[in-house]
Amino acid sequence: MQTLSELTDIAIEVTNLTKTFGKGEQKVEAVKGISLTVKKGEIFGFLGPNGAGKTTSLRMIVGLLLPDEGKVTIFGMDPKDGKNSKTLKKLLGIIPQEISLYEELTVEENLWFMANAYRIQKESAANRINNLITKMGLDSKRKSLVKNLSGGLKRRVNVIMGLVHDPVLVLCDEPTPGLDPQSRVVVWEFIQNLPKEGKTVILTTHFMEEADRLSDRVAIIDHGEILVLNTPKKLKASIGEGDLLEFDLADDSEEHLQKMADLLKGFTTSKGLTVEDAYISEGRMVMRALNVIPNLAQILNRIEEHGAVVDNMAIRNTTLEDVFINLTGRALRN
Amino acid sequence: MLILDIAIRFLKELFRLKISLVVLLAMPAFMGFMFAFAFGSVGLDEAETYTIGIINNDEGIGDGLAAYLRSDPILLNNLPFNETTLDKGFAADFIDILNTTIYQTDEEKSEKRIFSVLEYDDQEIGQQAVEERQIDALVVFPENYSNTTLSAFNNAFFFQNSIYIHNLSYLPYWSYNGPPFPINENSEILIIGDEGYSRYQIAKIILDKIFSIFNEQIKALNYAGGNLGFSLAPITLEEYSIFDIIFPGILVFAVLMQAGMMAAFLVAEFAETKTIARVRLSLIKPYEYIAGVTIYAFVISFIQLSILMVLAIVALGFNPAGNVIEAMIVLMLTIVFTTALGFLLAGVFKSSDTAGQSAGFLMTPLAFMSGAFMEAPTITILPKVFPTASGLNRDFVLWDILPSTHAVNALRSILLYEFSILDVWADVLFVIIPSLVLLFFSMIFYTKRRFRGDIPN
Repeated sequence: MQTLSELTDIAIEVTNLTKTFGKGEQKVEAVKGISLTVKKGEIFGFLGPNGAGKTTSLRMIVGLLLPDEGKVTIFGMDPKDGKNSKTLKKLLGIIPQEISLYEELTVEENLWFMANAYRIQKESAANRINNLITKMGLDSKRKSLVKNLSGGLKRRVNVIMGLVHDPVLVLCDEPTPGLDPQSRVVVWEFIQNLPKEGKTVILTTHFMEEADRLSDRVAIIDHGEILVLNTPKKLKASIGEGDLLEFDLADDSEEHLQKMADLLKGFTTSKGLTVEDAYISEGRMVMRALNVIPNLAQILNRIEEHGAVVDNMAIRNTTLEDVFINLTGRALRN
Repeated sequence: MLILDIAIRFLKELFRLKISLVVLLAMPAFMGFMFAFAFGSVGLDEAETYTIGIINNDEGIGDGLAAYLRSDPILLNNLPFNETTLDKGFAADFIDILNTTIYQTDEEKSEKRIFSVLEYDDQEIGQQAVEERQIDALVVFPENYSNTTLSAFNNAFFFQNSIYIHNLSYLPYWSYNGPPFPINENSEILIIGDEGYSRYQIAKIILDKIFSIFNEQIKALNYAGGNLGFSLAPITLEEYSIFDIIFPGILVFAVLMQAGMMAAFLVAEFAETKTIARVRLSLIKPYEYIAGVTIYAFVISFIQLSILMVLAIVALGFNPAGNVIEAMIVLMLTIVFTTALGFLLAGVFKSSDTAGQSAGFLMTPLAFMSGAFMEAPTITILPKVFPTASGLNRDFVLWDILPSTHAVNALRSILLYEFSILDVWADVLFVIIPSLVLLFFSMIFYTKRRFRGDIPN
């Protein structure tokens, strides 16, 4: 029997993972041969729009879906090999996308059921459950029936349900949709601290802020394929340096926006401005360049001379959303 | 223990879900009242004449005692039988009565005879006639029937007067000088038939009633010198309804309906709460989960069946002739079949509503096929091979492949005809063995579909 110390530094290795749903005209290639490695102790983010193949990939990794092709190894073990099943179940914890709780049980009863399901000794289960409840700020709700909790509190319980058995590999599938800001911060901090406890985390999300803030490395996935994989910083740098300037124009027709974008592309000034890129995103015209602030007046003049009326304007840093737009030509939410 | 944790979890969820609890408690009551309302006022058919076969093994009153009674008219005139009885025995008297008994309808005598009696010399031929449904039931009088009857008179007399008839000697003008009257003699009249055959079911009820009237008459012999006579008034069947006969079937129907509730709970875990994914990723083994669910199904069914049984006895006028605990054991065994059906449904359907509704659609015809409410059409597969409670071999029919058919038969035999669970061993085996086989395959099917296959997002 392998012990954790004997396990490899690679937590997960995925090779050519493929999954197709449906037949004939209904056939959908959900995941198209993705390959990746997740290092032990990192938070690995899967970022992509809904339907990109994130959850399908994750469910194939944990064995809830059977891949059509490809191979998964978890800490060097093949999940298909029955003799690894028990070890892997102890190592893996999943936080599912949907709220998957026993609504007619209390918070504590839910957690105790999972503790028993993993055959945890009573004393250590009690400690673990208390610890998780406290960390999630659920002390006052431990005796409440889950059905009586708010959506945010249910989501918090949903997170810790998969962690009662203290797994070393945690798979978080969209852990924060629909959460109020307070609960979202609580969940983010909780996930962020998991590597400090020696855990490896795979996170799927379509919130670029979530992926950017939590992930050590991010794979951007779309239409079942990994488009890029790197640290958030390097991904953002990959589309060029500089700040982003967003314009809301009075005439937000695509033709007009495109005309203004084309006008700004390659625009240079004597004050060191070179517009690296300009494009349309969600009804706005966006440009990226170094030294934007000293050249703001000239940029405005440039487009106003050609008939643009600027309603609003904002400067911001590059985000993973921009990386996605750069790669796919559309926004994540689309 | 993990299996119990799973069962307790399901039970907690059910009991805390108020609507489910209401359904759990109200469904048996609703079902009981509904069937009692529908069938409680439907009397047994008083226009039918039932053909019964008789095997008269009665050896009559012993020669010595008969000769003495003939020589003592004082005593004979004070006993509720006459010289014909001395010649032919009590069974023959009884057969005459059966031959002439008529229905009483609306407080008027009808002209309709209840029984057409055929006498057989050979019990095997009589049984064959039952098996071929030439007769509806076969009544077998034992060899010591007359002695048993005399013993009953004698015992009743002793009970009233603290002296047996044959010890009477204090009267100034009479004393008993004959051989002793029998005391404490026992025998049993066999009524043989196919408990699944509706004509047998009704004939048996009427015969039981006639025998019970006869026993009451014996008890009424309360003083020497009276003139009890032995007669039978026209029989009325008003107090018997179809509900009495179909109640065992209603119990089985209630068990079958459990499959729907169970499937709905299981499918909800798969499709709605999606908690099956947590179960599957944990160390819970499929067999532990299935065992936990099975315990849950047993507990729920036990509660519901107990409610239905108590309600029927206390409020709906059902009068079980046999052992209710043995009937409950048969019902509990039938739950294995229901559990198997529940797992099959839960492996097929992907929405708890669809599972529950489909179960309702499936279980009703299944109950009819099992003969729960009325006799299903006979489609013989193997003639005269299946042992009934009364020792006959009946045809093995198509519906015998269903454990629920045997559950209905076993329950009828126990609850209506006072057989023991051991008498219905063949039906019990055909409840439990096919159910276990089906449970085994349904567990494999469910495991493959829900523990091994894809769990969609």
